[in-house]
Amino acid sequence: MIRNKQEASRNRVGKNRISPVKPWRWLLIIFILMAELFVYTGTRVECTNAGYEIVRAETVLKKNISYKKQLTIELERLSTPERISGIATTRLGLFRPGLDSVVYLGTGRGASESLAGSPQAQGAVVQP
Amino acid sequence: MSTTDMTKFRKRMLVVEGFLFLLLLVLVVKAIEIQVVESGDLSDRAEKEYTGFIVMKGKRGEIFDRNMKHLGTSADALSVAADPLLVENPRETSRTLARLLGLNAAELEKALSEKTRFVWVKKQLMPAEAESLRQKNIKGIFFENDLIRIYPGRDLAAQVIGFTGADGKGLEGLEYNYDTVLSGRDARITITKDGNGRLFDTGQRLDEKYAGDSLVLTVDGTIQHIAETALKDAVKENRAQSGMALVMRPGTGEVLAMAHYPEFNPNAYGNYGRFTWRNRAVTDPFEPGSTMKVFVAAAALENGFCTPTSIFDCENGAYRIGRVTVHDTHPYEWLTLKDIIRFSSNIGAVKIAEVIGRKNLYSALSAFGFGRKTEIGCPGESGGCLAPYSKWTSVDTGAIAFGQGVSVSALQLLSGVSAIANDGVLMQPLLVSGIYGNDGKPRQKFRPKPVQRVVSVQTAGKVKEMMLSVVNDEGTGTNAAVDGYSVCGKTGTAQKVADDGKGYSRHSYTGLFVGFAPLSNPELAILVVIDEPKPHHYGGVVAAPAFKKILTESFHYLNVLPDVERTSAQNQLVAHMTTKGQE
Repeated sequence: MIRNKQEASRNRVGKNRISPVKPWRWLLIIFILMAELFVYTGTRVECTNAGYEIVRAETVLKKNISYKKQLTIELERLSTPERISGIATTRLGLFRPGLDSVVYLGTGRGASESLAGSPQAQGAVVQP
Repeated sequence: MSTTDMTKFRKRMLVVEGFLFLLLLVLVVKAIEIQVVESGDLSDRAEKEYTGFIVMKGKRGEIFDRNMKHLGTSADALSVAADPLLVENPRETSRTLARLLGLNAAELEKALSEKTRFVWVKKQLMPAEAESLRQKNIKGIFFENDLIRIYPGRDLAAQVIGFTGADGKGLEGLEYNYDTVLSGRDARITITKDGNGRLFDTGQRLDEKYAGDSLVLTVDGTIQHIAETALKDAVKENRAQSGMALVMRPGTGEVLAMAHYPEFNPNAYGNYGRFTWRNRAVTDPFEPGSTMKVFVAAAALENGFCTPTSIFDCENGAYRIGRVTVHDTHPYEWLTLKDIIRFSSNIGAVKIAEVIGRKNLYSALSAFGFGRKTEIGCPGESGGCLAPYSKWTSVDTGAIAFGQGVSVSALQLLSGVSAIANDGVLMQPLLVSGIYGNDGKPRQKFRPKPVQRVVSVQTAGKVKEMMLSVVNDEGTGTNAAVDGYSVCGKTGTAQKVADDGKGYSRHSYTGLFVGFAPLSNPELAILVVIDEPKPHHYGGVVAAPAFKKILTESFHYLNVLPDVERTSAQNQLVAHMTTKGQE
């Protein structure tokens, strides 16, 4: 009877004993979870850094747009008819051609055609 | 392990399990408290720490001429402000700021000594000012992003464009009239910050999407410059008070130039008198003098009362209507209708008006657009003054026939003459040809719009021939003749109302010349008005040369070929006037 009990107890202990494969399974699960955590964290960090890069690039873009606008304004200021004609007459010694200074060789476009050929008439797109 | 040990072990395990369960329970309760009970408050607190709001000011739309050159534009600028409580030495700081920014040091010191946290030092700095101030790195001084309105052409078409105030609102001209179109939107946007307060928002701070719409005008910057230069010379040469010059395409009603003198620079409008700001070509009516005779002649021809060869007794220079005696500059006996226009006979015009009657005259003048606004879209437009014919006396009818007792704006007058040039069809004056969104796409386009047929093609043709004789057949406008072109025109000299409002001044005149060319296919109609010229005051002397200058240079610029045989073909230099394809 006692031997049967001891045998039964041994059998129970044998059943409770952890099989040698199971710890690896747990380790694998933990490893996968940890890997996921690291990948997720890494991705988040990359995303954040990319976000900062975009913000920096946008700031540079904004500055460049502003600078381009300043240059455009400066260019238009420098190319105003008033300034150009001023330089032509005062610095370069040029003068406006009179009627007797012009010979018409070809077919003129005419005002209608000249004005119709303006960018606006051709449906130019406004660049704000 | 003995049974007793096992029992003890299990008890200890139970205690540990119980402790862990309690711990877990506490965590669950806390989690429920955080996630459910206090979630709203905590979310708000987190949001406050990591998010914020900024107000984006959308840029004001641009104003372009017909060649897409900027007439008005906005650029980023910096405004400088101060926190007086952080400024260490108000006297020293105010001196430095005053020197760098051109301000009053005493006033600045007073402002910087106040017990407040915010004081504007200067708004909308020029880039050089901002850079020099930034290098100084003064404590308590900081910069705010702002926008500045810039007019690259300076005084080019300044009265037409107008200007904006420091707050970016339009105050004059098209800037005022199209303020709602041009104004950018103010947007309150949410920004994300990190723990260090760095901004973390993508794509939100590019303010282009909040920009206002842009205007494209019919004005041509080069023709505007030509008109402004010629007008300036004419006003200075004739020692006049002021002047106006308008250029229009008769076939479409497009205004190519609207020049004023004295000019002003809208970038610094405060340095100029208010008188210079106004677009007087649409706001200030004046008596048109003899230029009105072409409309009287058109009315007479259109209603079949006379032909160009009908003759009128011009009373040898003096004609009495009631208690008033009308005089001509030179005495004439009998003149044809054509000669009345050619020599600008006041008595002849009165006689024509008597023939056609006040009702027909009123109808004709109204049809040409006098007495009502053109609706060009400029602020403060005047419709001029044309009283109902029922109130006209015989003196009024006669006076109106030669341009007294009626007032018109420069735009109305040019528009009326353009109708004759356009074979009798009155076009609505056009200044803004389109409104474009900040994406470059058109929001609205304005096409040339005929108002009505005023006179028949035949009548218009006869009036044109009469106007041609004014310039070419020793008429009053020979100073406007351009070799190689058939120029039609009419001179006008109007006495101004006396300063005391009683009658007309004997010393103040307005000299005018209005015309178009070429005869067969009028490309441009031009009006020049010279106010109070001295010593000469005749339109044919003071305004016609400016007309000639504008016409000549504009035709060179537009490549308009001569339409008649040229008389002076000497000393010709070669210039190229070829089509684009031939270049």
